[in-house]
Amino acid sequence: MALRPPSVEWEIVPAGTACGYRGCTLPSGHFGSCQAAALDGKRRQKPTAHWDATVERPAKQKRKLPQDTARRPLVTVWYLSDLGVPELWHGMVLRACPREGMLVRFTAMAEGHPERELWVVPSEDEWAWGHGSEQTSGLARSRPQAAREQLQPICRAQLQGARGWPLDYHACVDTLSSLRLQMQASGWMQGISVGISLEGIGHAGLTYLVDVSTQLLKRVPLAKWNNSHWPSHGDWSLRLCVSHSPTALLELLQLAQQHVIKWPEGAREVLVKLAGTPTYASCGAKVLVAVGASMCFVCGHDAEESHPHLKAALLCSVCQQRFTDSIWECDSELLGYRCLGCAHEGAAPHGCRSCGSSLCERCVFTLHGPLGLQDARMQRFSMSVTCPVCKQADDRSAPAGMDVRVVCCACRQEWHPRCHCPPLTSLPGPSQRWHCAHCIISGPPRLPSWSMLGCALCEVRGGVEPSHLPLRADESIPHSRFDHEAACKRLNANVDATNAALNACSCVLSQSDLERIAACARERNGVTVASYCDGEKPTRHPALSNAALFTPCCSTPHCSLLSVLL
Amino acid sequence: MYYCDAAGKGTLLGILLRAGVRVRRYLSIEIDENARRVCRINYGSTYGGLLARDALRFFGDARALTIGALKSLDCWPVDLLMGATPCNDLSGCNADPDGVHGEESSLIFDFAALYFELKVNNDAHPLAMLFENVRPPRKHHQREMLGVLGLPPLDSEAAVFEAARRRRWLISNMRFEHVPSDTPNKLMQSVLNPHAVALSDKGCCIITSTLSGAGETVATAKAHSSRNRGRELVLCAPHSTEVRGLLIPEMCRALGQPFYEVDSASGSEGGKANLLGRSLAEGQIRHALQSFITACKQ
Repeated sequence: MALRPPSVEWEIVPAGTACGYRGCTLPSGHFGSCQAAALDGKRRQKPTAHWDATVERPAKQKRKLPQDTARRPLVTVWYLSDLGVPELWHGMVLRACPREGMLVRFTAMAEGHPERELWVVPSEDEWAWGHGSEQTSGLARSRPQAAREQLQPICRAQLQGARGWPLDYHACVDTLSSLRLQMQASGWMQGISVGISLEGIGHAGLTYLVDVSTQLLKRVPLAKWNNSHWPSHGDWSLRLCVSHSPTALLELLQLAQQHVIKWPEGAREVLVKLAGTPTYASCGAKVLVAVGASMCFVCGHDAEESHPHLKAALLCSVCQQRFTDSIWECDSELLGYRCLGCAHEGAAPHGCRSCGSSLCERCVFTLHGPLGLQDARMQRFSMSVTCPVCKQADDRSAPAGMDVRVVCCACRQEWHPRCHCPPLTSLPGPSQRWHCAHCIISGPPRLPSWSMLGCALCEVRGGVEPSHLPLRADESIPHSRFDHEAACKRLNANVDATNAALNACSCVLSQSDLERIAACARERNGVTVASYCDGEKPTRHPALSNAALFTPCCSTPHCSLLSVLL
Repeated sequence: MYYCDAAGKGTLLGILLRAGVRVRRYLSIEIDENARRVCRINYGSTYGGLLARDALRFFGDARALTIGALKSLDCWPVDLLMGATPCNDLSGCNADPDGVHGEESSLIFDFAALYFELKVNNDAHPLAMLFENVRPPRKHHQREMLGVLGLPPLDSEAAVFEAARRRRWLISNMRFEHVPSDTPNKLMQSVLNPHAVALSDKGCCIITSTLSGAGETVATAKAHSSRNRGRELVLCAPHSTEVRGLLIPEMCRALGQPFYEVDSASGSEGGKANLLGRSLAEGQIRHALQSFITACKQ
């Protein structure tokens, strides 16, 4: 089939016609949330279409922030700096609205950045919810429960009970609209025409979004595709008006799926937070990352090599060398010492259930966006059991008898019957073994699971329509096999390093000392061994240590610390 | 109480005896009566002449151990001092560890005090020392732990020697030797019973149980369960070990933890003791003591 370009080109907005409302940089007249308040009640009605009468939408509930400032939600806002590095700001929510965004008082994080109040619009800004502003990593961080409870309903208020495909479809259309707005708003897009080129960027880029939209569009009944049923006003309907039929739209999307929007030269990363998507897990594409054509995925320098694990990413020679020289091991928790995205050591706290690889928070954020990072953190650090789709314990709007969680026998995840895709119409029996669709399609988890249902490396995404999950039987599993030879090599290197440090220490036993021990043992018919293992008792020695009663036992640097004077 | 890998159950004694080192006196400083019982059952014989008769000595309270007590127990002078203090406040399994100053793990200070005292007062006899514990995941805990003994650690991985992963720190005043090139790569599948299928080459986390029945295994399993929900834990326990009236398999089902049975011992004391004495740190400690073993081997 001959490929033809789409009939609608991306609109390039000349400079000076930005919206300007509260500093909004989007073009004027856009269907954006920043104008919601300005319309003052004359808010444009979003098209509502109810194809599935069984899906009930609960009445909207007004949620207010607590008056007590100590109980106000804390929020962490992530953004990409000019250097392309994800950075974060902490703040306290002063006002919140599901549509309008939040008024956040950001604390002073560094010199030159005083405390200030800014509006954060979730549909247009990169953001992530944080549990606490003091500690952002580590297992022992405090999580203000009140903040979580207040925050999560707010950001999910419009999603309550929305589990049918119509709303997913809304999300996909909103996705395209949001993408277009973002491209228009980008300064470097001025005067540059964006077309379709023949270079693929794989699932990590723009095509993945189109892919999901296509899959969801397949589920729209053809009988519902009468154009008269679709309101012609509103930004989102533009493309539908042009395409007229699902076949034409599908063809358009497939064209975009197979080919790629070529980013201009020198483009930095573009991170698009898509509006209105229900959850990360249920949609599969919330944030898309378009990496510049020739930039290293890790450091942003000129890239020369392809990434060994990420199909769409490139690496510079230095980062490529780091990948090559790294020894890939995992700890007793089966978490990799190194992140498979950037190969940096010591910061890989999130693991993938499907392929067993570990990603650091920076790479999770870069690949999955703030919501993906938020979900991964919740999955890893949350002590309570929640549904992997809606991330909530209870399905409060479920019909009677379905307000339970069904446990998958393979992966031990507990799903709400309505959240599972496809939704369960009946519950498995009390003693019946039940497997979730994820485990049926891609098999049970090959390794103990952690944070993510699917990472960018294995391309198995939770919540995508099961029949479209890729089956990669021959895919290599990074951590399933223990590299004994490499581990021995690493241990021998540690032995060399430790011995070198011991050589500088005066209290180390020499060979003659060991021979004296052996000779003495021969005289006395055996060695004398004291094995010290006792527990459960507090001792007085920490107090002695704090009181500086321990003094260095010798003067060498490695033995400069403590010996006891008794 | 989390399990201590090497000392109280007589594993160190087993390592030395299996390596051919003649042992005149073995003092187990261990408060757990059941661990002492395991040691007694395992090594009550002379072990082919390598272990002297009535070589075993037990001392209950580590804090009360003095040089006078060592002399009165005929453990003088000491050739090898081995320490394996509790890791409860150091391990990454603990969500809120307190480090070496924690209530459980502060015993390392008592061990350090004993070591430094013996170093200067051991009848001018050289003293070999080995300390084993987990590698604390937090940097400041690592610094604290290193500061106590003042010696560089060897960062060792148990999976090199065993079928389970466990990263440990071994601190010794002896030089370490290289890993032998013929070290076998033990796989999880090879230590399971014939009906179990291992999902990975190495076990991810292995829980051992004690015989006391005072709830220690339950506590350990719960701690792992809250963090590693749904993960496959390997439980090294005989079939009939009871914890508060629950057999180990029943307890695992109650906690929702899948498990492998590595031994279906009949439940006799000997069977339990054989299993529980098989420490998971054996390979690492044998490697760390290689120079001592080479010197003292008969």
